Amino acid sequence: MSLEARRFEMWFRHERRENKLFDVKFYPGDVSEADREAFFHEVNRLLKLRRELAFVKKPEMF
Amino acid sequence: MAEVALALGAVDDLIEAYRDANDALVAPIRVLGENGLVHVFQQLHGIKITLGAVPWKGNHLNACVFRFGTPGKVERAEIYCDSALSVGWMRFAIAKELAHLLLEGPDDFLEEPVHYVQGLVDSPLFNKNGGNTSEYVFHLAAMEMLMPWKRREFLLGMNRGFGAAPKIAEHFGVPEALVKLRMRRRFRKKLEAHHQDLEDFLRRPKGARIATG
Repeated sequence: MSLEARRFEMWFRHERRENKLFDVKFYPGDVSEADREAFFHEVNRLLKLRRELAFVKKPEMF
Repeated sequence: MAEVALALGAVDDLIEAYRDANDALVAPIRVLGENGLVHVFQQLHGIKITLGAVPWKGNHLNACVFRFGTPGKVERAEIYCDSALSVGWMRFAIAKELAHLLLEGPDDFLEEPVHYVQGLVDSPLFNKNGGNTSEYVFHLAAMEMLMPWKRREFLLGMNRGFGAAPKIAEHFGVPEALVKLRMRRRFRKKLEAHHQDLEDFLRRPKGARIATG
């Protein structure tokens, strides 16, 4: 298992234990086998950012 | 694929609730805000949803959803999407994650997260060769949320002449690529078959079972 994949797995186990997370689903763009590591990297980056995210809503959009 | 028909039935119920809340079913179907799809979903299922968007500049990741709670009860969920997506794709991404919340029960646990992510690799949207069958259902459900079956005649009526796809995309607030897919003759037939399955299911004698899988 790669470092990025291991990091993701650790995050998931921790959240399950501490915050009752039981499921996570991702919506990928085009990801090939060659991009696999980059995908895991983006997943981990998002997880790190998650707590700081705020929805920037443009009213006309929705 | 009875699984798809049942999913479309769940989307129909959500759209009905949306129509009731808004007194009409007029495109574009609003995703956010008072009586938007997310709001209606929360009212209907009692799951608190937090939304977030950030420009994480992902080349491979568009959106995600987290479900929290205990076995048997989903308590809350978080949906995040890349704010660099176009408006249409962002609406679609949120609808697609909402479809996960709508169609997956509290007993659907993710046990092998890494294996799951690996499964997403090389499974593009509406993979013709099968791809990730389950993701196909969620994509279809999201498409039906934003271009509801009950508005299909209006949708098809707009599909005339050169440059119809961009006009439809703007009217329904969806990506043009989805409109083009939705208008393909083969796709339309497939969708009609799914809805026919749903009608057959709803008309079945009491106690009859539907084959899944």
